[in-house]
Amino acid sequence: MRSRILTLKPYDTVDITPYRIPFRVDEKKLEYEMNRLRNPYISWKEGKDAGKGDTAVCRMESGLPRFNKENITVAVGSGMLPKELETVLDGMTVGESKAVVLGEDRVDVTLLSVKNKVVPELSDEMVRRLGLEGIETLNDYREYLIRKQKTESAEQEGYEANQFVLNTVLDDSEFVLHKSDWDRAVELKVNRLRVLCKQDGLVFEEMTEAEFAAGRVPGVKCHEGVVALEREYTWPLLQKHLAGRYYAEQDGIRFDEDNYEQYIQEYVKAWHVTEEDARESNTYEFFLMVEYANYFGQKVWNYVTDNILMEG
Amino acid sequence: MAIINADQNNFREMIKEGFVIVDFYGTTCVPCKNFARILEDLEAEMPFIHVVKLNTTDNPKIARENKVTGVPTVHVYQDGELLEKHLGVMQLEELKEVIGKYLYA
Repeated sequence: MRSRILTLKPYDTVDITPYRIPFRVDEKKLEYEMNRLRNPYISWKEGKDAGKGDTAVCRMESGLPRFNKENITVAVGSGMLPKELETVLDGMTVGESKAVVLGEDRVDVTLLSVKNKVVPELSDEMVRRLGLEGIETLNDYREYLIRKQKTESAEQEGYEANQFVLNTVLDDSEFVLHKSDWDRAVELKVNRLRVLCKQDGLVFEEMTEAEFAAGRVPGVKCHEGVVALEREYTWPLLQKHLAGRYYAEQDGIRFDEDNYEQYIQEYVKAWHVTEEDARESNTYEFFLMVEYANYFGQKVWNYVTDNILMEG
Repeated sequence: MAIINADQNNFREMIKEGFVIVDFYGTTCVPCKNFARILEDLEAEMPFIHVVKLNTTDNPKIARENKVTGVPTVHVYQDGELLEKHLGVMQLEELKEVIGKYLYA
């Protein structure tokens, strides 16, 4: 490759203050996740009295067909029966019958059996059994969940800031991009499309507007349109590739054939294609071009997501 | 009852009796993992609802036979008869609505 960087604006000097957002722990979500720890340890014990959360088997007799049932199982308090029925079930004893008035009709409910829900106290052992590295106690788990909330929040909110940083870096840097490299990068991308189309039983050069739209390239009338789009997209891709190579070298990272082999195996699994098809659509040269560009993209993304949230 | 994993050898057996919710899921599908959590919540609240999970990555033939085109796909059966199907994650309240429609209506 003859293209090179003349000057590169460091991505971590791009000010993202206007994009920063406050972060507050979602306590309700946190509580829900903490309580989910108990789920695998919930047990059910034959009981006498029905209460909220218990599983009750009852007989209902009524003029209403909907409430004329033998051995109907309900989760007491789940809100799946009319409120009047739910209320009467809560507190009933096995063998007991009660009448409920529903509008102009009456339902006689007899509690036949009940299984009481036994919910254990939260414990560190429940956390340990999750097998999360370095997470041993309820406190650790709580902190872990808060970190997860932060990550999710940053990832949800980071898109615009990420685009801003990428654009600023590319705009404020200087590259020497050779036309031959650009042409080659476009050729690699278009070849990939050609192969993917072939694998789908289509001929890239003969595809119709409708076929492109079905393949998620709307608004393109013929293959020349796709090539033109690829030329446009590949220019910044080449810049990102060069930036990725620069940062990878700084970080002592080198993508090689071992990484390629691993990528191919993952691609085969993810896309359910043969290894031969995976290699045909993802040549080593294409892999390197995209992988270094992605390395740069990931560095920027990490910078954005690490800095976009304001505590408090 | 519990959430039971089925395969191509026992799938039909698992759905032939009673009210059953089937989750057709894929190994690498992220929404499927979210739906698995929702099914766990359902189990914690309504343990008498039979839930059968079928991994479509490992059992593509059953997935094809049941016309599963995407995951997660949820099928609801009563005594082996398909009552309804839903493509995509169903929230707990949506599942409860379906249960209410067939068990308590």
